[in-house]
Amino acid sequence: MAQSDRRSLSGPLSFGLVLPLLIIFLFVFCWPIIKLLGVSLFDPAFTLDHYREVLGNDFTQVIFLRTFRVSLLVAALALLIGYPIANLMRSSPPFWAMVIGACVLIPLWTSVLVRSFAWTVLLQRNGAVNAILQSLGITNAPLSLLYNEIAVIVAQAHVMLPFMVMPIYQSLRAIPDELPRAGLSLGASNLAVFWHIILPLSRPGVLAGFLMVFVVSLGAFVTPALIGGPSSMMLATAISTEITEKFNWARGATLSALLLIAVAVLLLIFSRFMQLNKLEQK
Amino acid sequence: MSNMGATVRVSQLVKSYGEHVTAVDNANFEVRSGEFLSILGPSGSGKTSILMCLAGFEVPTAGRIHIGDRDVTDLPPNKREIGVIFQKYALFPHMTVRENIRFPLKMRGMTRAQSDVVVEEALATVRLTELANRMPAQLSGGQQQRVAIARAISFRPPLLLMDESLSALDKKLREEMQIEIKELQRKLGLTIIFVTHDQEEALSMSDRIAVMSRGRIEQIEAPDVIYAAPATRFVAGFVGESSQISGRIAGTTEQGGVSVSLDGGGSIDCRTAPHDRLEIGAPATVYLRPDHVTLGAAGGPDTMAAKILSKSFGGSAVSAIGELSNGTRIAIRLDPEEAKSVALDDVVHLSVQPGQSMAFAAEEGGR
Repeated sequence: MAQSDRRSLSGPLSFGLVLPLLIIFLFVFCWPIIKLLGVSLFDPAFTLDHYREVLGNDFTQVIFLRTFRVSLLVAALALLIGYPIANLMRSSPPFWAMVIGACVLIPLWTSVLVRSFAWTVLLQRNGAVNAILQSLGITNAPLSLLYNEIAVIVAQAHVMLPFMVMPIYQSLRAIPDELPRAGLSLGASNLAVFWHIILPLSRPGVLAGFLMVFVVSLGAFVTPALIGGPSSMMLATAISTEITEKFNWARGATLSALLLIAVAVLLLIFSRFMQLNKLEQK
Repeated sequence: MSNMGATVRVSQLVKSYGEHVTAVDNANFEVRSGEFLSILGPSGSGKTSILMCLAGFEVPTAGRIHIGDRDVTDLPPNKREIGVIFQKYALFPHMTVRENIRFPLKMRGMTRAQSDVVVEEALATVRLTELANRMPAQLSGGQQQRVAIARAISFRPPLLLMDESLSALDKKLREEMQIEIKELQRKLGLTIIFVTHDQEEALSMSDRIAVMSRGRIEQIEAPDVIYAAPATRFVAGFVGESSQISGRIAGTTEQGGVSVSLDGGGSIDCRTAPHDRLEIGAPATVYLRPDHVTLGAAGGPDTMAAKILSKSFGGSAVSAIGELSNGTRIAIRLDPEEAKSVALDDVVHLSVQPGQSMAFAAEEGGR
């Protein structure tokens, strides 16, 4: 008791310190969201018509499905690329782990806009990728690599990579050296140690990274807008189009609300999953 | 359930880190089949480096390691067939007790049906059958230790390495585990190499002890020999309790030892280590064990006057500290009855059993 008292500030003081943040949070986050939900539900009287219309509309259904599919693939690709990087960081001496970590994190200091434009430079008809493919004789004419789903997935996975690598690295680093050593001494090969010990113990990091990349990708705007074409439009772009071009606030609000609900449900399922995970390890 | 323990031969083992740190400096020893060898030393003495080389987690800078007839020096750890018990047990936290014990069997390609029998047997050996489905985090320290043992012996390795494996347990549990491990070793005929900094543990469990200091093996002998006839000054000071008294060599005794005249007056007949060169007149240090000091009458042979500085009750005996006239402090053990007649600041006469204490040449520069 006495120890926790010494460590924490008194109730009123800590409340006072949090208050500014709380006010900002209430006014610029909670209030607009409530307003937005209001817009989607009242026209001007209470109605579910907007939801009925959006959910019944083929076009929005396709966009929803595409957004989920693309985000899942982004998370899967980021995991595929990010896990080996995190594992390399774990097995490297501290200096090299720091260098790799810096290489992963420094791109975060440049804006998403710049990183996405870099991909358009790489993937355009006379860009670096086409030049390499042609010089290797793989194709004769330049391919159109931009403005499709695959380009969006690749670029978005690149943008999201740090959010995959860091949680996985954290959970890998929490595994004591004695465990893989014990595995080896018990006759397991390096591969078996990875499969039976390292991989299962890094599951919390994998789940956290996957969820983070998936959820953020669901609402991603910049990369899909720059790299994707009209045929690969995603939800955030659609919402922006509804509001800024068609001035259809109700529709934009409804799409936003549906996205919010989807993310909330995902997080709920995930936290359940994590709790079960913890129980299992106890 | 019995198998033959392996012999182990370590020859000219050197382990250096970089150019300046030599953790193990030319270690040579053999371990007999079924023997319990402790490697005892303070932290940084190189004992863990030897163990890591034996297990295969570290590559020796030079030297060879044989287990049985096999030269394992260049084998990876998973091909050595050695059971290792780590300091913190290293149980896999995401597997049940049963899955942990099954792991080495699974790695050897045993089917579930085959391994079931072995796992149950191992569980029974360490009396954990009821806890087989628990997760490691649900077990007490002693139970985790037993799971680690069961896991390490389930694949019948001929050699078991233990790295400070009991140090995380409290005293009572540690003593229970010491007995259990010894019983298990006798039953299975295992060869055990046990690394520890706890000399009581090493003295009570081992067939032989290798005492290490600064990367070198100072002495490798049975516990009673280590205690009664330490080969070097380091061993004399590190193993068991002793008081160090400085003096000079006065002459030799009929038993082949030396007589040391103490700087504070009086003299003690001592034994010497075989390789120690002690010339008459040279400075020497006497390592006096409390066991060899008794209260005596004034003026007797081998007596010293000492002022009692402190007494502390320890159950069957009372430990006291006496101070000689030149300020040297001596640990004394009194029986509780005797202790009642001695008060603090009393000057008593201490009689030393002749020919029991060890004398070594004083350290360069003298003390």
